[in-house]
Amino acid sequence: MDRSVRGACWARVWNFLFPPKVHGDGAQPQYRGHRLLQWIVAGLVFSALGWIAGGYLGSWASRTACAAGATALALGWLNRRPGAALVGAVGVAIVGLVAVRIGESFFSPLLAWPVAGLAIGVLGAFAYRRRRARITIIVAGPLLGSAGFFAGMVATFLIAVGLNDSRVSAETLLGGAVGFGLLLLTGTALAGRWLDAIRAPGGGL
Amino acid sequence: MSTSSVSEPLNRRGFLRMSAGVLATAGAGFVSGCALTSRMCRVVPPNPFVAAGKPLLVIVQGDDMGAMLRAGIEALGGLEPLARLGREAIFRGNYVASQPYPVTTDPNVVLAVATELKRAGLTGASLLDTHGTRLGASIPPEHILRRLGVLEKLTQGGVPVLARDFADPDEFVFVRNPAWPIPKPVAVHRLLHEAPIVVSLPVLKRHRGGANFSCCLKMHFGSVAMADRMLIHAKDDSGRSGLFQQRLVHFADAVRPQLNVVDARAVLTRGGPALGGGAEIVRGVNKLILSGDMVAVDSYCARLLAQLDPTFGVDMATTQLKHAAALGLGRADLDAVKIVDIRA
Repeated sequence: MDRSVRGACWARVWNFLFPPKVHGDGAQPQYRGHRLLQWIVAGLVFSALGWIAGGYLGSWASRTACAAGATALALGWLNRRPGAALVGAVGVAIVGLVAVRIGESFFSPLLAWPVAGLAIGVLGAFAYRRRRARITIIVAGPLLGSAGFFAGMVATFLIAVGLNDSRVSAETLLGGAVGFGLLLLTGTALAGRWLDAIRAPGGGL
Repeated sequence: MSTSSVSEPLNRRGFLRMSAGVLATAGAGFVSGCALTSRMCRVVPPNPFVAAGKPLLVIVQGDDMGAMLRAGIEALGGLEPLARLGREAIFRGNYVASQPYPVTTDPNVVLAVATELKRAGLTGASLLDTHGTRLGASIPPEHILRRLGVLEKLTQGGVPVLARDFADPDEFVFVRNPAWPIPKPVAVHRLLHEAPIVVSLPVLKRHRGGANFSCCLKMHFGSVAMADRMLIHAKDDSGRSGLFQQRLVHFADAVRPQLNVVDARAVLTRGGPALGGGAEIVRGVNKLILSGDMVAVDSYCARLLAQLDPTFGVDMATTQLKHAAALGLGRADLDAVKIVDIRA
């Protein structure tokens, strides 16, 4: 295939996943210019670092709270709202901590993950202008968070089985936390681009 | 309407470069992290319970557990050699299910051994168990011990119970032995790795699945992280490839208890590691087996189980016994062991 044709195909796929976004008057928003990859990497790195940092403070409760808080921090940071990021991170961490404590006496502390997903969804909704985008991210937050956590755990365990290495399987929950941050921020970025943006004419190419 | 885009679409080359960078960084971090955290297995002094260069294996027959234990310890030459290794001991019992002895270790045996250790000069002993996690509200680490009444009984008897989360990576250390054919480390409980004295208190029972029978070696499935247990069940649950039996030996190698006291007054046969699925309890066996050599104990106990359980043969334990002997955990050949058979 010709190099330019391949480039065009690649750009078309990229623009489908992450359509370029403009205001009605063509102005560029100052705080939404980040690429999808940045969201993916930020979700992965922040949640992982939050989980690891939480390990120094205690066990499951602090790990969950820190991972969820760090994901909220990443969301605010990517939206260029540092103040909201800080307040949101603390709020999400507190909500996560409470959910872990409730979960310890009712079913499982893992219940904190969908709850944290919901809290991040509510936080993320403030970054959107359109109601459909806000509702979508609030509804999708706990679903994406739970699905990401579960998928991350399964993927980590399968990698551990493949490598036959308990050092990897011991970090199954770290994998879950990474999946949580990754899918939640990726979903947020995509939902924002699909539902909140005004698409450029002609598909934006 | 303007067609200006907010951001340039990332081209394929850029995407691949960034992905490669992220993967390389993550991989390097993981590999260096693993290298830093893996240690050598617990180093223990040679078996102190020997006679004429042969490890002692004491078999005590009787009806009174306390008297049997005292007679067995006397035949071993006393527990003073253990007191020279440290001031406190950690007990490992078998608490795999919420079913009383002989599925699980009798708390009276734990208390009796603790009393004998104190008599030998130790200041205290604790029981370590890792059969639960705080990740499930109904399966906290102490749930089996609490249901069995072991937690209350031992605490009242002056033996603290350390019930720890089997899923918490911070509770474990990764250890390895270059002699293992599987070069991957094992996550053994930190308290066991650092303990000066470990005393193992297994029960003898049949075990369906990969292990075939459970005694001194298999019991240390409960000494390692759930990550290791899940992994070996996922890789070779049926035990057909021999990986299961090899790995359970590595788990025992990571602990290397200095004393093993097998309570075979009753034995679980035909099924296990818990009641159900055709498992039956054979009572009246009335034996206590004591030794510093866990391979010799398992070699003897495999023969004992074969006499009591027609579904079990000694050959079913050969793989694990040979592998354990090859790693230097003890003697599988009972001719190389000094057997002391007494009645109390």
